[in-house]
Amino acid sequence: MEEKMTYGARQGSMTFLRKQLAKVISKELRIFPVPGASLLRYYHTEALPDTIQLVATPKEADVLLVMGNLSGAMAERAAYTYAQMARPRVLVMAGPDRIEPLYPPDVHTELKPDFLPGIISEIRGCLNSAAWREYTQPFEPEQLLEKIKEAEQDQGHMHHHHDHGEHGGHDHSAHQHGHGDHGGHDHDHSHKHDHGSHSGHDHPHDHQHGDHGGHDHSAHQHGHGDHGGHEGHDHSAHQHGHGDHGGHDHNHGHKHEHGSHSGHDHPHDHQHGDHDAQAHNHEHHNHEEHEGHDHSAHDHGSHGSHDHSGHKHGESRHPHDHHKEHDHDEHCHDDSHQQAGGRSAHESEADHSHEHDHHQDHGGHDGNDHNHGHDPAGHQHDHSGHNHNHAHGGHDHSGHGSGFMSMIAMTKDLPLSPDGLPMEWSDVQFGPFHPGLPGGLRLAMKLDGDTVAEAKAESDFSPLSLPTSVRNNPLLLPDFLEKMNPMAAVSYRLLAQKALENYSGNTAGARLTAVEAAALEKERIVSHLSWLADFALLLGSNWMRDQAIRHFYKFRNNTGDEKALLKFTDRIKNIPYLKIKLSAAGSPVEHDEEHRHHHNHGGHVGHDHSEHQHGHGDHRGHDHNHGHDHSEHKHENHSSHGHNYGDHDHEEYENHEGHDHTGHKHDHDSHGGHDHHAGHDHGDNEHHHEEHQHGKSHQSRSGHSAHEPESGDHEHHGGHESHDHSGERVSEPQNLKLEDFSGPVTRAAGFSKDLRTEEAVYREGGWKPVTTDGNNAWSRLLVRLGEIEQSLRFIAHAETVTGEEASPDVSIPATGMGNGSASIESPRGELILKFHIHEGKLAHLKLASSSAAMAALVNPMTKQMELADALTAVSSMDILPQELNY
Amino acid sequence: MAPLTQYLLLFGMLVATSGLVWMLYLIKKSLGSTISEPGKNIPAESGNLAAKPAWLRYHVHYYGYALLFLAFDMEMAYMYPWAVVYKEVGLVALLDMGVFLMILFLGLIYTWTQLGLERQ
Repeated sequence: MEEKMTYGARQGSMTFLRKQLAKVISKELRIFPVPGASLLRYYHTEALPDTIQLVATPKEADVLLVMGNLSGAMAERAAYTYAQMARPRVLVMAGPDRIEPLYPPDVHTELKPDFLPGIISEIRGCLNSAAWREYTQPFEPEQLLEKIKEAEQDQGHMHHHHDHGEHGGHDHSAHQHGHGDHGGHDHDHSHKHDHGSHSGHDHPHDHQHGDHGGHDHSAHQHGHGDHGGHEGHDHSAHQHGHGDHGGHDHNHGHKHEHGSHSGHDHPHDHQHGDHDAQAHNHEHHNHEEHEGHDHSAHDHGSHGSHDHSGHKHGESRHPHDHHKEHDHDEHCHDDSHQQAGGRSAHESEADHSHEHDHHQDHGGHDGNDHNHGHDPAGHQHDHSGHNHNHAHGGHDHSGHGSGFMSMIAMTKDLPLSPDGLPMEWSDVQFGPFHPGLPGGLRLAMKLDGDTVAEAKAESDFSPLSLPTSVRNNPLLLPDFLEKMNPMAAVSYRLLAQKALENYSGNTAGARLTAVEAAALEKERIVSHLSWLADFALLLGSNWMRDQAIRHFYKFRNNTGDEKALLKFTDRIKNIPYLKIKLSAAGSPVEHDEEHRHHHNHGGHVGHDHSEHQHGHGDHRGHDHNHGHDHSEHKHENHSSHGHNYGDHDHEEYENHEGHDHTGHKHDHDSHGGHDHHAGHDHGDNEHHHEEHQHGKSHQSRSGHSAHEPESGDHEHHGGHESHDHSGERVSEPQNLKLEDFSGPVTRAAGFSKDLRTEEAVYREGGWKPVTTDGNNAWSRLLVRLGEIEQSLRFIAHAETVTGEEASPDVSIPATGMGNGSASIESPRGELILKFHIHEGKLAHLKLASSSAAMAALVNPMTKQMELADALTAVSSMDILPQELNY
Repeated sequence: MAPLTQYLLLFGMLVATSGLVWMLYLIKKSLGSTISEPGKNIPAESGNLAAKPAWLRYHVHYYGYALLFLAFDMEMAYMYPWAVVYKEVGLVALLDMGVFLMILFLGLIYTWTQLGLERQ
């Protein structure tokens, strides 16, 4: 036992007291199973003795039990889990004797049925003899050390958003210009002035002032720290500090592509019409030697009453190719002036009168009043109509440090919740070793508080790879698939057999016999009970879990008590409040996935375009030619957005097959709760609108916290040409439709879709699929309970059927080629196997399961659900993670 | 109880407390020294190292509900003095409070219609 427990023992010698303690620990073993308890259950024919306890966290565990070969990702996570266990701890491996980065196990056994009882005494022996060792070693595999260090550093950066230290220079990237009284404006200019040592100035501005929900210039990245040597005035860096816009939208849509300008020309045609006495505080930070200011086409008009309503900045790309006087060659935009602390200084100014202490040398600027009545010909600073108001009263850029704990500074760049509040999303991981989820399923979520903002279900299992022996001898396929999927062994074996029979031309044999169907139904009962055990754990019902496990083992061993099981299922159905509790984990019945998805958004109060780049704004009576084209919208793609679909008639969405926001360039960085769709009438399938008339239909509200659903006359999705939802973190397959799926989840949404209806052996008994309406965790529970009862009846019926035996043997000729295929209704849904055999060898094999489709549903299904409901919903789907990697 | 007895009791409690602490320390000592391991320094979730600190701006989705509760709960303060004089004043007090509660109730109804009781 000397070599044991080198990395698991506590340090010290085995004294009498410690021996006694070790004995106590070893008496009741607490095991953390990897990848999960359900797999362990399937490897045993009897319930584990009471002295063995499966625990949910490594903290409680004495034993880490690794079953089977783990993928690299899962092995790494297993190693972290082991590292988190308290000593003394025993590493047990069933199957492989070494999995990197874990060290060699303390106890090893073969992965075979009922393997655990055989090694219990060895585990106990480990603890009894080596729980304390003098020369124990820390567990620090090299592969993990760097990752752990990185994580440690990340953990240390608690204030990474706010601690910007001392800033010598100026970077407006983080400035939040607290514009006075903007009725909900959000000047998300999306400016990205990446002025890094430009000799030729490139101002790819994309002014596209989106949803002015609280004037958030968050996306400005005016790295205009030090414009040393501007000869021409560059307005690309302007921050239009609009004083009091009663709902204006500065959706300029400018794309100032100032590339290598020697002369600058701003043919903006701003035509600011009816501003409520706003002052365009164009900030020229450190613009030295501005000489040749040319806002050639700027027509800022009489700014006593600006009106941006007439802006049609749809495609205002300004190819500044005839600039004469601007010389950006000497621009020295120092990106080192990254300051964000200074943003705090902008937080509360009702008037954008900044105190630009850093305006060291506005050489070419004519004082503080930049009247932008530009003269295109003369290229002079004649800002007659424009009040640039560089009086900068309330802005103090000098300190840059006053933003500590400032609410605006702190909420800068944060994603917006559906109610328009900027909040930090937390990244959380459930699985691959979460006791309430299938082992190996990793649910990565972004949480907005306790609400799911995004979710992604992935498998940590290795992709299926066929060994050479199976490739060379396809007859081994049933055994191989059965072994690969112990949790659906019968289904996979039957599937492979049927496909082989199909290949060999035995069409009669490709149908299920009564014996096979009975075996399949038995597996269904057992599978549903195993699912119920995990689901009950998640619900916190030990009674339900224990009962489910008890029945699981009984039915696996053919000693099941039908009456007791029926009584059990009845009791579950009558548990008080369970229906209410589980009904929240889902959505109303819809007839396709889009509907379901849109319904999920019913409670949203706003649109979070935080990742979008919408060019839309807050539009009170404004006419925005966004240049977008909403044709071919794919509404599924909105799934990660906080659309407020309000009281929409979702029937209208039914045929929106072609909606594709993938190309959207909305340019709304950080919208204050904008909802682009609340009022939209998507009655048309295709929106080929040339002009976006956001016009009067948009109620300009403070922060756009909630667009009125009834203002539904957004008939014109003005020319959205390239919607870019690229910021979505979770990509989803297109056209998720529940009726295209299979299994209990589909049947729980009211679709009577079941492959068994095509089997004669089922049809003869007048078999019909169990369906319920609901499309939530409760209906899925009901369907599975119903299927358990139905399967019990079917097995009883099948026992009376005589004659048919199991499928005949199949032979594979050594020459020739052909295809084989089969499909079967497994406990989780359809399984489809297709293969191609060439000269007696498997040339190609394709497996398809319902689990992959279910995993794709996770994100839209859980969106905006409370965390507990989301976990319940995912657990209720019964995804088999092994099936995700086919 | 004599003052001396009281001091004796106090002393006894101090001794017992110190003894307990000392025993806990001894137990801890007897379990051996701990080994510093890198994997234990970071919180992990289901086998994943937590990438970010949990210190963040957290959205309390029921804030609207909580604020409303606070507003209505404050009104309860008026009911205590009312309850004290209720017997003296009689039916008039009941009617007065009825009107007061009705106004509050209308406020609640309004909140309800404005989806104020919904999770934000």
